[in-house]
Amino acid sequence: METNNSNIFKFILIVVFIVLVILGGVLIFKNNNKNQEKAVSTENISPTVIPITKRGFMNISEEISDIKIKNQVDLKLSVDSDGENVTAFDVLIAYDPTKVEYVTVNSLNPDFKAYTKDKEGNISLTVVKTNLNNVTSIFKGDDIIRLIFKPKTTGEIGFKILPSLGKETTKYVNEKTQIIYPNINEVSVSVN
Amino acid sequence: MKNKFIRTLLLALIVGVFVIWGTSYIFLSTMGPKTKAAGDTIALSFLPTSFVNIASNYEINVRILATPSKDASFRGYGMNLNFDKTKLSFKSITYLVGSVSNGLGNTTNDVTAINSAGVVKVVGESQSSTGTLVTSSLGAEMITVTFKILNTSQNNITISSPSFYSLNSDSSLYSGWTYTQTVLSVNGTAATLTNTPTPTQTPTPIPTSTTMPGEPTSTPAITSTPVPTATTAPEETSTPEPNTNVTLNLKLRFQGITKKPINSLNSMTVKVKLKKPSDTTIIESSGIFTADDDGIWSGSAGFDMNPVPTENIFVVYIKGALHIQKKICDNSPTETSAGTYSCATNNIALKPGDNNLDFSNLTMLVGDLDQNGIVDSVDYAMIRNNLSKTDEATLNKSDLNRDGRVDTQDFSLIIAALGVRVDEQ
Repeated sequence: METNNSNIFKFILIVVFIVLVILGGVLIFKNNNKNQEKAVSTENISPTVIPITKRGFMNISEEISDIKIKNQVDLKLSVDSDGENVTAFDVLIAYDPTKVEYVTVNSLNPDFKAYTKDKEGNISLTVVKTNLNNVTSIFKGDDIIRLIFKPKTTGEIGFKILPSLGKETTKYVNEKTQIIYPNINEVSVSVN
Repeated sequence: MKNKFIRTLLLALIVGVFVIWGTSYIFLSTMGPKTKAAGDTIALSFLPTSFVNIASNYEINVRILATPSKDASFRGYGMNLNFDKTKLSFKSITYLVGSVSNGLGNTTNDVTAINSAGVVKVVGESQSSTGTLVTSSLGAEMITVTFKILNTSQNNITISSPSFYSLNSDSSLYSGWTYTQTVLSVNGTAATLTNTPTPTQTPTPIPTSTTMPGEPTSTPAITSTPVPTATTAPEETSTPEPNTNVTLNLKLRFQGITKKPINSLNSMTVKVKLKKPSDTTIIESSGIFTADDDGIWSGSAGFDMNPVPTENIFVVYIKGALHIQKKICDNSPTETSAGTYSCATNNIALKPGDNNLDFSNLTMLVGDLDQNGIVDSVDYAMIRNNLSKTDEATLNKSDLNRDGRVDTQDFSLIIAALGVRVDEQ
């Protein structure tokens, strides 16, 4: 009786072992296939594409920290294109029109010209490379634009780059006409 | 006793291994997180949106535009293009995104089989392992198919069984798209949207009406084309039944075009919208326009207005293929320089049947190349990045003055457009 039980137990153990080995093999085989697919998908990259993730940045910052009510608020727009050669870009900047008045925008890069539309506290800025030469424009945190405002009140005044507003978006376009969405920021300026 | 304890322990261990393995297999292998949300939609549409008054033996080029609801990289795509083989004859197909999947999709070599079945089986694939990224703002033209008109009576080209495969962030394939598609009307009435839901997803309806910003969405717009009036084939015994009761015969002038463009560029789909009096609803149609030697474009757009309003005072909106929308309120408007006309009060009276409107003293400003309603960096880049190009695909999208070359004139025009920026509403 003891021997019979022992044999049955051994048989069950062997069957279970074989099943486990087979299933293990199947799993390993499936994993290998997945890895091969991934290996293929990372080669030969020439996307005609727009990366869905955000790349680079467009940041605004104040040029002078101690701002008096009688002075102007100068903001600079810095752009990092994450290695991309930029043809043009759009920026949407929101501000509080009760606290500050938009005055003008200047391009700090001679190759680029800015076109603006200011409406109800939102500046829509399209900056384009008007120079027709083949010089690349890869920005690495370069200051490209200066925005000038006139303060109406003292205190904290907020400025914010918006990712989108209506049909418009903050983005840059490279020389292959690919659209890249950058990281953006907001800034608060203290006026005394 | 000791042996029995060891056996029980071993059995428990084996069962435990099975349970752990089985659980992880089920939950990690087959029920892992998907990277795409449900409800992603691809709008499939025809370019142009309709053909009217095309005589027998003429050839028409049909393009299919795929516009996903979100940016996506496509590895493969397929669909059936169904046509009436008694009225159209297939001539050729070109895959614009990737290339044909050998052995699966039809090519021009399959002309006999295609014309026998009345179906073009489209199966294409991107050659790049990262796929071809198609944006929700621009979409992508997937194929061009050329047909020859055999019979001038009304017929439709339809899309069925669409399937698109995009790449998830982990490089796996995603095929859970739902689709909306239009019907291409040849020598008759045009496009209506239909939804083709997949079993597992709820289709996202595409609005067919256009309203002004801030105004409530209202009844669906009726898209239609004018009734053919001229050419009939010898075998034709009756004219197509009209679905439009108000037709606008328009004369237009587009910025930068001062003479007849070269043949391949002398055709433009123009969107025409009518705003009803005392109503926020805008109804939309489109027509194919062609230019004369002086660069004046003529064409028609038909509307099904039932009943035709008795108070026939309308506003007309015109938007060319690469242009900023213009709002017009007068039957024969004029302006002193391009773009200065401004609409004041609604003065356009329409009647059932033909309405001849001469807008050729206005200049429709160019600049909205991607037709999203604004002129921005993308429109600008489409010119600057294509300077000196002369291939047909580029010319169709970037040759603003239609002289057969993307050049500094087009560059000047897009720079000027940055000062206008938005569609008139």
